[in-house]
Amino acid sequence: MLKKDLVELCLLHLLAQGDQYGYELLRRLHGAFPDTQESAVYAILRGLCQKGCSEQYVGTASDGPARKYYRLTDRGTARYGELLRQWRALLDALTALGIT
Amino acid sequence: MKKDYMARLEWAARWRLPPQEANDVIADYRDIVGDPPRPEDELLRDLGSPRAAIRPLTPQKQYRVWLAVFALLAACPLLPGLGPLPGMWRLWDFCLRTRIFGLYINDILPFLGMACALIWFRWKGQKQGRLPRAVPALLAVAAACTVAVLAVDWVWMRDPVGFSALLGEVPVRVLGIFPLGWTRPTTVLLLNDTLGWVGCFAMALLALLGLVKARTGDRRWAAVYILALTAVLVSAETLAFLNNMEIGGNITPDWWMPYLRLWAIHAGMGLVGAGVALC
Repeated sequence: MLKKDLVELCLLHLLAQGDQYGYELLRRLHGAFPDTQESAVYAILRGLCQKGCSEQYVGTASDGPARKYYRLTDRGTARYGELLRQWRALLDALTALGIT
Repeated sequence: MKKDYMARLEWAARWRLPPQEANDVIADYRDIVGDPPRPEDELLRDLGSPRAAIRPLTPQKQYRVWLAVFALLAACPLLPGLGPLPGMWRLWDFCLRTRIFGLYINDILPFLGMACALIWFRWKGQKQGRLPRAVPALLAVAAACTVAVLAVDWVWMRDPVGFSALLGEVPVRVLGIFPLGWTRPTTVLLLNDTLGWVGCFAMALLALLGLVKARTGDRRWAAVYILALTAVLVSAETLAFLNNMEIGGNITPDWWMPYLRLWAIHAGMGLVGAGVALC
């Protein structure tokens, strides 16, 4: 599992919790992976949209401007499950080696 | 500073991505860059350079196709356009003397450049609101250059024997024009050479500008490319013709008509192509 997959997993995880404002997603991910540039996270987010794992819509906050939000699709949910399984398998393998 | 970063990113996006995708990415980055506004050094740290930010979004196959099309379109004005530069005469000879399927390369280039530009930018380009103000001005420059070259050719061709006798007796291109003094033929020759060189080189650069702007901005910039390409080719043909002219004494009065007709057809074709590109 590459770091790119980890970032993708995190994005899908955040989207699974509810629709998210795009820029907020980037900020949170950049906070979690400070050595990964926001543009790289954005490229992964855009890749998810192109693969049909997430979709964009324009929404408005209570009194704010119109913004682009992202939500998870069925395909995205399936991909999330798949990455989560891979992550747990990796974690088990590391634990078995005594790496905690 | 923010505007500078965004302007560069916009350029990179429009150069590397298909138009619709570029629009989406630019809209997203306006949010990222401007909400809240961030200084340029912070943007460079968090996002990388504009080109680096766009690179991972680039569909490699489509981008390579665009680069191939760009190389082909750029070659059409540059091959004859760079010919008159010092040391580039072989390139010029290649364009003006090499035949493919019975046609000279210089006769193929306008069709190739115009057809490819029209098809590609109709298919892959996009209009962005009103016609950019610079387009009509640059179209006028390219048209004026073509008309000026044709006009000087016409003056020259009206008295071919006088001109060729003058050029035959004196090695003008070795000595320069000035030892001959300011006569009508030398003035026309000087005008012709100057216009030919300007037509070839400056118009080739203008065609390149039109090409790049048609990709990164409004597709109607392709009209500038097409008309400047026409100016390059008409200039190259007339320069080559007048530099190689060998005229005997027994020529008919309208000997020049086929040549002028050919150049007029090229010029007319360029005008029509530019008109189509503007629609």
